[in-house]
Amino acid sequence: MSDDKWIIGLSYGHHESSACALSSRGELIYIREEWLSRVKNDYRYPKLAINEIKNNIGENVAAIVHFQKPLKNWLGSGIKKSLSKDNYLAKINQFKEGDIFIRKNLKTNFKKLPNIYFCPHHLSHCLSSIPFIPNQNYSKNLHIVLDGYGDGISGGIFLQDKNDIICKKEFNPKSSLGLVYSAITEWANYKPNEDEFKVMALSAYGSNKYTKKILNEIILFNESTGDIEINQDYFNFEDLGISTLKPKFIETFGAYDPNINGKRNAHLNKNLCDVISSFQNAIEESVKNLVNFFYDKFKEIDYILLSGGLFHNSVLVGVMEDSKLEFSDKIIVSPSPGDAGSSLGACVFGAIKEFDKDIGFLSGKNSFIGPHLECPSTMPHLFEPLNVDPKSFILDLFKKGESIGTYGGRCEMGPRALGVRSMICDATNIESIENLNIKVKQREPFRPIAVIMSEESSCKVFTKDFTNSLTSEWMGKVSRMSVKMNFSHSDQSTRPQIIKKLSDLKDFQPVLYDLVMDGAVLGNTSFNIAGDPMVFSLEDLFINCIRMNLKFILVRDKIYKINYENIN
Amino acid sequence: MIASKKIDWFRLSNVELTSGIEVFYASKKFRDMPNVHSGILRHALDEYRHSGIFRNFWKEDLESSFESDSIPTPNYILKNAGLANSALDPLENNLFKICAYIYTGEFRAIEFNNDCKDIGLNNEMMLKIDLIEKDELRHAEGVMRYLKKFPLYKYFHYIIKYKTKYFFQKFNKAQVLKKLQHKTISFFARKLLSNIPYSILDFKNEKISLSKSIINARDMA
Repeated sequence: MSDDKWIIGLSYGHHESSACALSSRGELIYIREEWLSRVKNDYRYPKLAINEIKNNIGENVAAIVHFQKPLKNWLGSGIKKSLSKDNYLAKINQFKEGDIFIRKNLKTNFKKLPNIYFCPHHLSHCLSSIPFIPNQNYSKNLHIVLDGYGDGISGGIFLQDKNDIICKKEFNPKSSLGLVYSAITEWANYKPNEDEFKVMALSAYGSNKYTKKILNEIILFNESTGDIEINQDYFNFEDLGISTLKPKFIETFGAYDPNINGKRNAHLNKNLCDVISSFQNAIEESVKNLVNFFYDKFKEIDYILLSGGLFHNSVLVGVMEDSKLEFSDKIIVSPSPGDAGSSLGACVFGAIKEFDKDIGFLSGKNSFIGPHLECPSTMPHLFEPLNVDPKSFILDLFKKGESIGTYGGRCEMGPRALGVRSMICDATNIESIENLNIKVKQREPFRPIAVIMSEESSCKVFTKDFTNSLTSEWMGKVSRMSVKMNFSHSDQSTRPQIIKKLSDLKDFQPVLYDLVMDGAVLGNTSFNIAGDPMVFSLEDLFINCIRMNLKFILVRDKIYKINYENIN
Repeated sequence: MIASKKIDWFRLSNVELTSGIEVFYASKKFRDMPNVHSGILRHALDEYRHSGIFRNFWKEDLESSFESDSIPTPNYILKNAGLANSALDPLENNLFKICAYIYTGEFRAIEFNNDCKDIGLNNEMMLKIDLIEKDELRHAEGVMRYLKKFPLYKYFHYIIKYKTKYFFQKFNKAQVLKKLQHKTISFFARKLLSNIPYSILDFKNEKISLSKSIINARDMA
């Protein structure tokens, strides 16, 4: 490792900051700042993440690549007469707090600065998917980037032929589907750029009564050019000084009424769910049309790689995969397609610049590219190993309706827990699910729980066959089930992690693998209390276990008991 | 209950959460000392618990059925509750500095709790604030117990540093300026008054300046 040259990619200045390191041999280490700073969606310069990466790779850094062009991003749509004074005041604040002073920031981590590159924002998104292509034997890939905003645009279409990546189209901020989703989130009284996943969960409770209207009047797809146009009579995406929603939107869909059911029971608010569901549906239709258009335009495509914040929407990704269109089995979405994952794209950009190699050497990666988690046995004062058979111990806990935490292996890249840092329960037991979801994790009752199951078990509950699915072991996507189960969402869907027989996922917990292969269906949620980042260090693990009253954790093939005596 | 509305419980809850995060940062530096390590984690857990108590106070205070989010955004923690400007760098390795910071922080919290009591809360709230105060005192004692194992000169200046920093943090910039202006004016006014007879005598001969008056007064002494 000492001879390896490393590229460090950075992403900060938008919502979630992260750092990623890529070696000349193709090794990856990805860290989110929030894992270390313990501030959910931490957007600051990733000082702690870079420090952790340096602890892992040493000082042999060939280049640092930032995921966007700071000044271009800050300037945005520039100076216009029509923009309000508050817009410019907000811009001044952004100048102070954004990534303009990146060199100064870097000096806190590096005594001597290596080469610094700036990769265009949407190219970073596009490049961040490349390591997840299953094999190197591809000739032509289509990249579709649909984001909120970055570097003055909202997305793009890229065509990749090995190392050659050509931008075929750019979408301006006025056609940003990402910003539409954020605006709906804001309208529903949730936090834009943070709570979109809650809004996505609510979409299952509504009907599509406004979908036609939205597709005819608000989100317009141009069938001859492949452009998307958002009717600016309903939204304002340009001026930071005024509300994103224009009066016409409120006139058409109504205003959010806090007196109807409240936020915790938002799924009982009919109009709210209908509007959300209609927009979700309209966005799904528009994206499907867009992908179809460009797939037809650029023939002989091997893979379609979707990136940008919009593809965090696992319902949208599921719909694309289940669409039965010609391209549906060619879709790949990075585990973290948004800004946080773009530090990986920045690394790939650095690799193209610095390493004289075909970027195919990066392919075949999965979500498990975070650092290795420490073993709790190094802290016997906090964690006590138990001499028990882990499998039967877990089954006994499940019988009592209890859940267990899992911790061990390499961290997942994306926001979705995949067994390395998870809380697991028996998904067939409704009380267990409710206990974990609502009491332990304190989540809203309308949010479903994801599941882990074997390919064999999936055949019994899904109409879809996962045998050919490229990334079902780690990619987050929602699928409809043929039968209603205790763990299914109100629209009979779920987000499954399908574990295949002879899976080569080294970082998946071996005991969970055995349980799943024996036919168990496991409820799986991220290891954190609501609103906190996922656990990362052993201290986090201990604090979270105590706060959630979790008594046992599974670490690979060993059960540990939390040492409560040390606390009382 | 009416009086309690003067306190921004939500902000306070976030401040406690921020303290919990800071203590968590500190805990990582004491991994080699299992007893101290578990003690600090216990401290962090207390801070998280206090944050929950204040969040409940805030929820009780909400007037309408409007449910605000109980989960703070990064901006609440970083700006509103001050983590972004925290004097404790998470990468700091100087244990004395870290302990001095935590120790001072506990007294800040106690001082604030006393301010809360002065406003007049209901009995249940007072009881909980009392318990929080006991926790803060216990934390401060724990930190001091650790520090006392070392010679005073190694940590005392850090305590002074953080206490001074805290003293100035208590006022916002405008308040500090106002206070300084007030002190300066009263100082010079006193000096002026003590000089009046001599100043009057000099009045016709030369222009009187403030500094000259002070010098005259010194001469008299």
